[in-house]
Amino acid sequence: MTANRALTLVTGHGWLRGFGNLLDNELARWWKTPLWWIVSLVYAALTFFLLNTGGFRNEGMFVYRYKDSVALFHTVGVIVLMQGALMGDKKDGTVAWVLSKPATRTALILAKLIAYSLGVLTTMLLVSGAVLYVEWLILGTVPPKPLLFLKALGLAFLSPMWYLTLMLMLGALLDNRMAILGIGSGLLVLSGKLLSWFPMLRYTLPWYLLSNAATQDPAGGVMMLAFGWSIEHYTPTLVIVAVECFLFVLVALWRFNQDEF
Amino acid sequence: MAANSTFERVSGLGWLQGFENLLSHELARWWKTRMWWIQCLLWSILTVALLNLGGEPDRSFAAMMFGQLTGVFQAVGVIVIMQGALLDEKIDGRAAWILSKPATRPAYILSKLIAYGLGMLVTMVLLSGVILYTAWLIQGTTLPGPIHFLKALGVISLSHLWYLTLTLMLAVLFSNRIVILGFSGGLLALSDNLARYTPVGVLLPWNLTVAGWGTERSPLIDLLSGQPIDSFLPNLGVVAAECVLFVLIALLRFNRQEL
Repeated sequence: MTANRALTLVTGHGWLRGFGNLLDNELARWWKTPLWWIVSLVYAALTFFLLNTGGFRNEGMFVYRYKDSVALFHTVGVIVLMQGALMGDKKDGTVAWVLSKPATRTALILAKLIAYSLGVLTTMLLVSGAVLYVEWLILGTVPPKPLLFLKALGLAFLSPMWYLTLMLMLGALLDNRMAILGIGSGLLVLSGKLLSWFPMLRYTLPWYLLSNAATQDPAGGVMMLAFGWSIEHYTPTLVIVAVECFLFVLVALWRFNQDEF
Repeated sequence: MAANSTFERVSGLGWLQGFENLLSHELARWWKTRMWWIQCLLWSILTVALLNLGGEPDRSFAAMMFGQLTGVFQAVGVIVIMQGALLDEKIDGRAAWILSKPATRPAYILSKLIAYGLGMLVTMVLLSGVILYTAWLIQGTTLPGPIHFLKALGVISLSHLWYLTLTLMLAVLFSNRIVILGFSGGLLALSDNLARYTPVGVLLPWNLTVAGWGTERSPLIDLLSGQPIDSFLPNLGVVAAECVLFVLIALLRFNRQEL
């Protein structure tokens, strides 16, 4: 029986104790507040604006603009949203309060990871993708097959996911918001330069997954999969970036489990 | 006499009461912590690396990259530093505590504006400028006149001031960090797309530093090349007026705000 009748007793055990409750709470931040529709609206408007301001309108230009500009804004959005996801709760004592209940630290981090990933995937990537697809239809061109397009979007999601897990890890490692934001946004603006200085980093940063670098094969990144292009050359980058995401989460879990609040 | 003997009584009056104390406090954040040397180190490394100052001398490349460094990288730095300058104190109650003392709200806002403006001017603008000038001197390339170079640094300062005052105003207007960062960071990220449209481009500081579409010109690049910048005067004037407007809005709104 719960001590407080207004609370619902949720049983659970092991390293994921409290996960269901925490996930509900994190999902509610996205879907039971104006956040979801504001972010969706912003990204729908941004995508429409960016697709139609790149010069002439054709399907090639749409893909170019999508990778070149829209993807950049997904990353900016992820950095802005994630800078406070853990840090805000750590600072105002919410984390300490939550962890005084029967909930594990691992459950807290994973709940945030899943809720924010789902939010970003839906309100940024899928909304932008839908606008792009509708633009193709309006233009009267033959759009890519929906399944293939979704597959390409799924691979493109690895790029914002890299920044999302990076920011989560930084939130667990550091207590200074300026440092978290500085590293996250610094890496974003410096990526292109870093790759020209240290070409061996090309597999470790998500930059080339969506870039229009002429050296890419096919030029234009993983989105070209939507048109049936082979993206074999991107396999090493895709694998390494995915492994890095996993690694960032592991580091976040390890550090958060040792932290004192 | 002060109620607490460890406090130093500072007299003052009018709408700037408490300004000196608040300014000392804000300046101490920059110059009596690690902040100043971390910023100096960061921007020194980035200036040398981005402008390729250690490699083959290429003056036009260095001038163009100086525009990128100041218009993009340092603008990100200004936003990152400013996002919490006021908001943190509003959220954790320090602003309310400070204003319970004999200090006015304009003094509070202006002390932040001056201290952060000065911090960025020294650690970002002056430092990067001195490094570039010294490198050109060592490389033996033709140097722009000192007045032209100082004007170029003035243009960069104006661009930084725009982001500084914008973020400060947003922190007064909103209590949500996502909104503040979204607006300022979003505007910066969108600038490349927006600035090519004449009426909007004049409103943004983007064209002051970063080379314009297809022209490879900006007041900063022109000044570094010793050319006149008359054609950019409307852009400079509008951006300066916007800075004043942002500060006025911040002062006006903060004066009416319940903390």
